[in-house]
Amino acid sequence: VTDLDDLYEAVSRAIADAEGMPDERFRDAAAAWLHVARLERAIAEQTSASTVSGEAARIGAVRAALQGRDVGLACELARLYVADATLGERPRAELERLRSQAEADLATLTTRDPQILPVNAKIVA
Amino acid sequence: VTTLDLERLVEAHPRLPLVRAAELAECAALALEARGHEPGIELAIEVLENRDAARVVWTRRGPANASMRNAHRIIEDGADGVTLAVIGTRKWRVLRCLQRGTYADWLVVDETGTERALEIAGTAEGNLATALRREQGQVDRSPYSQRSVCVVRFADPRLVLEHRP
Repeated sequence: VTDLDDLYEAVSRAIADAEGMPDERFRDAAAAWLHVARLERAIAEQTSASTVSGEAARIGAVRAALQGRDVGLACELARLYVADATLGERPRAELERLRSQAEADLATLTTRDPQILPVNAKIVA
Repeated sequence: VTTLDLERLVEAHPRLPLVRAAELAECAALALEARGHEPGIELAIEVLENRDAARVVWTRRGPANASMRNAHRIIEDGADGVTLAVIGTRKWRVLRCLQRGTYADWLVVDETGTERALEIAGTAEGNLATALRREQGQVDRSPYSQRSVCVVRFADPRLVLEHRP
């Protein structure tokens, strides 16, 4: 889907699907939110950050990435969108807040991940 | 007097998914019927301090349909249905829905071409001024640059819509 009108309709349906997902289907819910994030990003690419639809798409992409548990993507998108000088004060404050949240989540995940260390080994035929 | 046909939301808002439009119309109909209203009831409207009225029509659902839905959802989605019908007659159009938690429900474009985040709430029999103040507080927390708020009361059908600074 690339046409903006079609994207608006698709994102409305995708948000309803993701929000309607029961708690026990958390893996499906994460996938549904990542689909929302893809659609929001596609809308963001076609709309200016200075329009309300552009604001909604940028905030929506970061929120959906967080809901979809892709913290790295949420960080990357938030940094990209905040750097846009045409972004208004209110959406900028929200994206800064989401960026802080994503960076904190990412730091926690990095700390929790198991360390991978080199091991001296020799493979003999 | 303008007639608002709840069954024709998609004609006013072509980007509204069909299934969602049907849900909103059904909830609006059920919310009105639950307060004893019949199709043709008059709705008092206050949009940006301009007072008006419209006749609301729908296909009767009956109480059996109401028992299949959550009472809170009937009021909230019903308020969305009534509001979208009203703004549709004023050349406003829904672009898309917004994610929960952003203190606004819909992205709409008004008759001047201005895009707005619109927060909508309903009350069955509660005080409309109180509901409006509560929703003003909600939408003022919303991150969007242009914001409007609308509340609908079903007991004596009434709608108030205003922009926020």
